[in-house]
Amino acid sequence: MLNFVKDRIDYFFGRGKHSIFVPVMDGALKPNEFLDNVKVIHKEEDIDNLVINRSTILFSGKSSLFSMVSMKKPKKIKSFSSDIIAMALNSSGSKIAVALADETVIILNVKTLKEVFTFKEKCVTSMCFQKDTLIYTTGSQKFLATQWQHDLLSDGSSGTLSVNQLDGSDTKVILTNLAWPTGLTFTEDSTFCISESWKHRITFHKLDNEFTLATKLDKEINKLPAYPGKSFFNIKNQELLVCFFAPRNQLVEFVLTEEEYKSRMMAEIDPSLWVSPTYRSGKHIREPLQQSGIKTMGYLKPWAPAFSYGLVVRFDKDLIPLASYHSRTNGNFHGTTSVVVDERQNILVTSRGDGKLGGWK
Amino acid sequence: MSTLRQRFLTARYNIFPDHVFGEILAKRWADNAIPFLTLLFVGVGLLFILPGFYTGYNLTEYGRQYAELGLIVLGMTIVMMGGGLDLSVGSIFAIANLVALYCVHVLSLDPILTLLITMGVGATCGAFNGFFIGIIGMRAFLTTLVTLIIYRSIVDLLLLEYALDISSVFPDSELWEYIGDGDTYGIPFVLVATAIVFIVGHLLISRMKPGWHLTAVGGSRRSAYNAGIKVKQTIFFSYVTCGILCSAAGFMYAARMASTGAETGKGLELTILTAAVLGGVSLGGGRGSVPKAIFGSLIVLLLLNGLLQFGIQGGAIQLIFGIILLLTILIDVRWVKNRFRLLNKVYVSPTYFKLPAPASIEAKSDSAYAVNDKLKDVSVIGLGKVEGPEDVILDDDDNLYAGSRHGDIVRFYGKNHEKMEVFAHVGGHPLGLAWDKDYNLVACIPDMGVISISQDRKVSKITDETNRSLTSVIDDRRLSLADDLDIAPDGRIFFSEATIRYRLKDWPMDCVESRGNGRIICYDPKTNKTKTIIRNLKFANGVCVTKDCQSILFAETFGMKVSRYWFEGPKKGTTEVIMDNIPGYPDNINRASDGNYWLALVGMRGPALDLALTLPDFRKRMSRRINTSNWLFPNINTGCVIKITENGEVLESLWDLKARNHPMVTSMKEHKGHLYLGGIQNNRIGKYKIPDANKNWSGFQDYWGGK
Repeated sequence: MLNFVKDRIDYFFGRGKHSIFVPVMDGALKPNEFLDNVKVIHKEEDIDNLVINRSTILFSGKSSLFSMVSMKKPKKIKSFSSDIIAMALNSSGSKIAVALADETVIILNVKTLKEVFTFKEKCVTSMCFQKDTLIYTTGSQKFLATQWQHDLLSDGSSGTLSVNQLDGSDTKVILTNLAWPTGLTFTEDSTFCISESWKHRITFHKLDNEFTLATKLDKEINKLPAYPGKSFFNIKNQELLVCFFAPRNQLVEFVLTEEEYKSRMMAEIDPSLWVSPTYRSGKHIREPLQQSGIKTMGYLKPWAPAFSYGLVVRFDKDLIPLASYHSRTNGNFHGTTSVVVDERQNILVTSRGDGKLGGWK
Repeated sequence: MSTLRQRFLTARYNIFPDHVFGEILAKRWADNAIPFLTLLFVGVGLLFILPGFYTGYNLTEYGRQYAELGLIVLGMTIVMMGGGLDLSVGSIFAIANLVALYCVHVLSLDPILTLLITMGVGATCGAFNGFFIGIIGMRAFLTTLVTLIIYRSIVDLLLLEYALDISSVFPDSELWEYIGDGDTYGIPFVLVATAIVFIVGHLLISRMKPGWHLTAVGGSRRSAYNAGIKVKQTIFFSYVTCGILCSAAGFMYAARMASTGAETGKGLELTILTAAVLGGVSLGGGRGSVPKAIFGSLIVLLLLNGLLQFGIQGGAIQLIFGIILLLTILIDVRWVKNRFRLLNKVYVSPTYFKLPAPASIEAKSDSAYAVNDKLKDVSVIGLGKVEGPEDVILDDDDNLYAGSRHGDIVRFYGKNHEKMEVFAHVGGHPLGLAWDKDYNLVACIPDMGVISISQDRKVSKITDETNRSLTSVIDDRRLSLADDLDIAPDGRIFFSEATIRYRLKDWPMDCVESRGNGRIICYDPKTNKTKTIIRNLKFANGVCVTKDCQSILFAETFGMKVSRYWFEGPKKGTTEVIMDNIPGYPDNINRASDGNYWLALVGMRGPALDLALTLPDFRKRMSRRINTSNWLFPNINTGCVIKITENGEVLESLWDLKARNHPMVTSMKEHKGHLYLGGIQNNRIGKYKIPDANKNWSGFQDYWGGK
């Protein structure tokens, strides 16, 4: 009873769990226009899933797999039956795992591009090889990988961390009830981090030797101002690079608390016109707009609240943010979905919203 | 959504006058609401608790007490409004009482003369305070605390000397007795006197220079000084006035009680301070009025007598008053601090507004609205030079006029309009523009009304007010957001006022509300009268006199419709909707050379907002919970121009899909084969070559050429 009263009071004042506060970008996250000015290496629609082995960089664009050697012009090396949603290379660079939107995961030999092994899994958001075992996250039990907006607006928390030995044995589920986990990255032999996007946090876990149990470690960063996505651990300087694929927005946070509006919007309106974060907003003239998004004197204000944004943050190994690279509301490098660092310490980032591969040293 | 739910939402949000609360709160007199309610509560409470409280004799007695109390509270209010405080009111009151008694009883002076002497003494006491506080600049609290003791000591010393003399004589003056005891038709004389003081005081404080100066000084001493107000003098005279009012009260008390008790006026400062603060007079200065003083003193009077009748002792009453004072100050501080925050939270009061899905605008559809890129090659005039040309107009010499947000009407001239000059400075952001038959430029300006600019650049007001409607809480006489206009052949000006509830910078907020706060107004030069003809329009915007000169077309931006109103002919006085459920937000309407009309769509509807319009409680919470800059707003970043017939049939649409050149179109005027485009948030004017248009057609000739 007391809890109910307290809940109603919190609801009225917008406090506690009814708070729709969005953390400000401050300190190391102070906005800049860095990403808008980086060198664009390649343009490809829906570019995503950067993976690297020495000087070879692989990435996806819709259902195609591309390869780029020593920063030369990328080549399409293989097409699949449906869109690629996640990729991973093993440590020797001999095998590549490709998760497809049609709920299959394919292991290929990198040299011959022949299929070595396949298994079924849906909504894979990120993958990682550990010796010959594939460890991966699935975003949601209910929705497809492309329906991440649906999962967010349904308060989704049904993601998992699973292990497949790639020998025909069953998949083992290690962690459940995660809020859209992605960005699975190992930082040490058995320690890995995952981004829980809808909880705006990055957490560290320790995996036991048999790959049956993951223990959550104390190391965690939360209350992030954007939705964290895929990440890359730079072994050389022990830094973690994290892509944030969309910004948090006060109106979206508010809509998340509005059950009737939310459910009717999802039932009646085309997803591209929702009040929801997206890789790229402002594409259609019937999209929702917020007050500060009104162009004034022909100019869109960079600080206007946005449904899409570009953000890459460098953390040290204790998750203390060191620096950040932004593409603000009026920028042209939104929906930053994946990042890698090559041998020469060049940082490469995909902007899925604007279909660009950018890089800088 | 079930129809029952719809009906409930309509009743709850469209019929129940939600908006009135915010409008009342926005009034200056809303400050008095809490004291007034407290008074009502106390007054009615006493009626039930003490049945004999309001008997005739009691009422007369309260009236006499009130006359004295009210005057002192008024004095305190005046001092507090100037940012000061007077603790010595009780002592001045006691001195005045003694002086009056001595004059009448011992010296047998005439009561009138006595009053003057008493007031002189009060003024002197006040001047003493005022000198130290106002002129020297000492702290009000300490100074009046000291004078409280000094005056009290003087009273005590004088009492030792004269108390016996006074109480041994009974004066023989009918007037004196009448002042103390007399009444006219049951109303005590002193109460009438006090009422007159209140009325004069109210006029002085709220309507005249002394009051305004006092409020200014109390509100911000430095600003008042910078504005040229004599700060020291103003403060000085506030204490003198307080002293005079206290002494007048002392005079009345003397006539009523003839008491020489040493307790007279002791502890009065607490009662008076409580009354003033309860009435809503701010301790910080700058806020106070006679009604506040009246309410405050009435509450205190009722409480005082109520407590006495309960049999509570003097000390306990002081304690209770102290607690009340503390609580009131607490509420007062919170109120002053949070009033505008509260107002911001409750002002927006959305309604239920449901529209069917609009016509398609997709490029592949065969809809007349289908997007295209016809405006992509629009040439640009005045890029970066003009800011916010909501409307544009051309004269027959091809000069181009536009409003700018700097409060100017600018003129572009030269062959390609490459040169710009300020045609006239009008002081507000001009919106709709039109020519009258004498080639005066008539403009709608928010917060200013309708003005006219002659060819020799003389700016004159045409009208800035209309008739007051009976039910509106907001004073809707003033024109607040005059938007677009057109002129009939007989000189009548038909213009729209978009909304009476929001200012220009907040105009899209009216969409979040969707209440229908706009109207169409007519100014008739023959009678020089302005009259509202149509009310409750959802953001009344573009106005255009049709070619037959018998009707106007007008657009409701956030009602997404265009209507036709006949002011002449057989259908005179009727209104007919000609376009409904438009897929965008219609703005200005103007004549085209081929007999049709151009209509600007300032932005396009989106399903996310359309859905929100059917959920008023959602929008209400949104307006409370999140900052305005984050609100869901109509998307006015891309618009288009459409051509319609007199009956609302859409003929074609012109788009700049990428919004490179013309992100927003609020208005367009055709002139000699070109269409000139304005936009309220743009920094440019567009010029579009209309294929197959009449190259000799101009707006002025079309309206006034034949006349």
